[in-house]
Amino acid sequence: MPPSIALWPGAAPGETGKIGPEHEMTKEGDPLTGGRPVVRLGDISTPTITVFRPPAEKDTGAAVLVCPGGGYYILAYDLEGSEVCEWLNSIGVTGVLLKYRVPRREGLPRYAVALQDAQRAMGLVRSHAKEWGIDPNRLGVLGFSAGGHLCTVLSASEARTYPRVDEADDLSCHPNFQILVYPAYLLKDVTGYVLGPEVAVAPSTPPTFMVMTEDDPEHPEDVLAYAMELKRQKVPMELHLYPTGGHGYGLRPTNELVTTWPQRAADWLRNRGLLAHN
Amino acid sequence: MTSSVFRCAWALVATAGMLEAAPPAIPIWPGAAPGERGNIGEEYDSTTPQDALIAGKPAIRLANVSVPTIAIYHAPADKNTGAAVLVCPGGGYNILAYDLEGTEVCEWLNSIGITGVVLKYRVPKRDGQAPYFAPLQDAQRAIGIVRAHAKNWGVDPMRVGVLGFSAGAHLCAALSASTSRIYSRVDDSDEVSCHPDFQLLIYPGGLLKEGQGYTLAPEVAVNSSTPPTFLVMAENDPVHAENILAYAMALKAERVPLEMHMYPTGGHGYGLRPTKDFVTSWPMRAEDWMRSRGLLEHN
Repeated sequence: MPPSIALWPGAAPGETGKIGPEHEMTKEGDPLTGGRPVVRLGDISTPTITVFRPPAEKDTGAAVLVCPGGGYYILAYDLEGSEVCEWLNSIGVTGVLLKYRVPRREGLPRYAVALQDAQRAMGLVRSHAKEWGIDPNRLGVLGFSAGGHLCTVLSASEARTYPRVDEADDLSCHPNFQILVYPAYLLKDVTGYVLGPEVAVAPSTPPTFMVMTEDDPEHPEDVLAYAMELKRQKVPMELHLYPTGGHGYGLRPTNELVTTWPQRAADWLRNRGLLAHN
Repeated sequence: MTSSVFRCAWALVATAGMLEAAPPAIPIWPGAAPGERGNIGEEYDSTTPQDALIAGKPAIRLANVSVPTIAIYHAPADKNTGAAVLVCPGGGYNILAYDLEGTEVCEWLNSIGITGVVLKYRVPKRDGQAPYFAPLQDAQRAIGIVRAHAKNWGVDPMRVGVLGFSAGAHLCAALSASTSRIYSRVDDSDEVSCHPDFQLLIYPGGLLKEGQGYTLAPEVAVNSSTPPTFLVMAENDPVHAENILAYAMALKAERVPLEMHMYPTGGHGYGLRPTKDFVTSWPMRAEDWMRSRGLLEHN
């Protein structure tokens, strides 16, 4: 894996050193996903980004910040992180893996520190765009489950939720597009199809791609409600809802059709002109 | 008893299959269709040279249909899976896009081993009736005929689905919601179920109760007996993507297996003619869906 870069020059905002050290929580006997174990990182207090560059001959200049899921308790760091960056590289996209802070910090909304980390990461990537060969206007986000929620919170946020650190924080942290894979927590109330205020949709919400299954225990109502709002606000969207597949499959192929979503996502990226070479 | 007219027609079907010509359209009612009073003009193709092309080709728009028919496109014997699909063209219950959303669909179904049955249902709307009323009679009658002839046609009567476009998709949803025949029994084919085993709704129109947000119209109400459903539509469809969002919500609430693909662009009325819009790749999604449901397994 490429080297990781610390997001914050010192301690992350609000960190008091109570959490840590970071560790892998997967135990022997935990269920396998797509036949393989999953790395579950816990107690993260030093958030990072890791930049996976595509081969030069394939490089399109597009980049995607990848937000693993894990309920804001842990991060499924390979299944919903590094493996996704490798796939992005295969279609000529730079993958930037975000290791955001978990678990939820006491007294704050579950997404609060994760949002700070995501905002900071977007600014940092844009500030290094030239150096990393990235087009700062084709920087998207892709998240799974809680990481999908984090993407939508980031898309809805209007200003940094931490005091300025350096020039990176003067650049926009708004994604140019977003890919939500089995997103969680979008609804204020599961039966009501009402979005939580932190994920409100506006005309400025970026073009959105969504995928989920009807039998997902985290509620496909999330993507249906989000789709209704995107439609209402005339935000371009694509939604693929499959009957079965459950939750937490990442992009490991199984016999469930939903695991073909990377092909749909690549088509969508291409169709939007995001994979056109510089 | 099947009338001698019918027997003669089925013989023609078999002949047509051998000659690989377009199969003949066979009247589904032995006499006049229920309620017909002979006051609808002669059937004709209402497309004019001024009409817009679809994927570079014209489309047939049949008007004044008062003799509803089915035409059976048999799957080639070496590919036949036993599954069959009644295809309902759209056209706002005013006309039928008979090739774009009918015969061309049957040819695609044949290519994946499915028998396609194109339904020519009555249009336009009959005075004093809901727009879908006479078409629903035709669709109910057609499904019964297909099941009644399943053995002869190499069709598995437990794998008879429906596929409709626009108003034709509304007709499929109304058929799935109907609990009994809405016409007087004609013959034995009206004794077998007319409930579809699965349905594919392509850019459906008219599913919503007007002015009621995401509430479905009563004639397309969803319940736990609604068949497994495949939905596809473009967000920029002028007939409103809300149709499939609302239908999907209702299916989810009733735990009916559902698959839905919404693409950003593509508009309305593309049939299955491929264009640069990704929504026109829906037949591949539909084939995968039918295969994953076990519908394409050979007998």
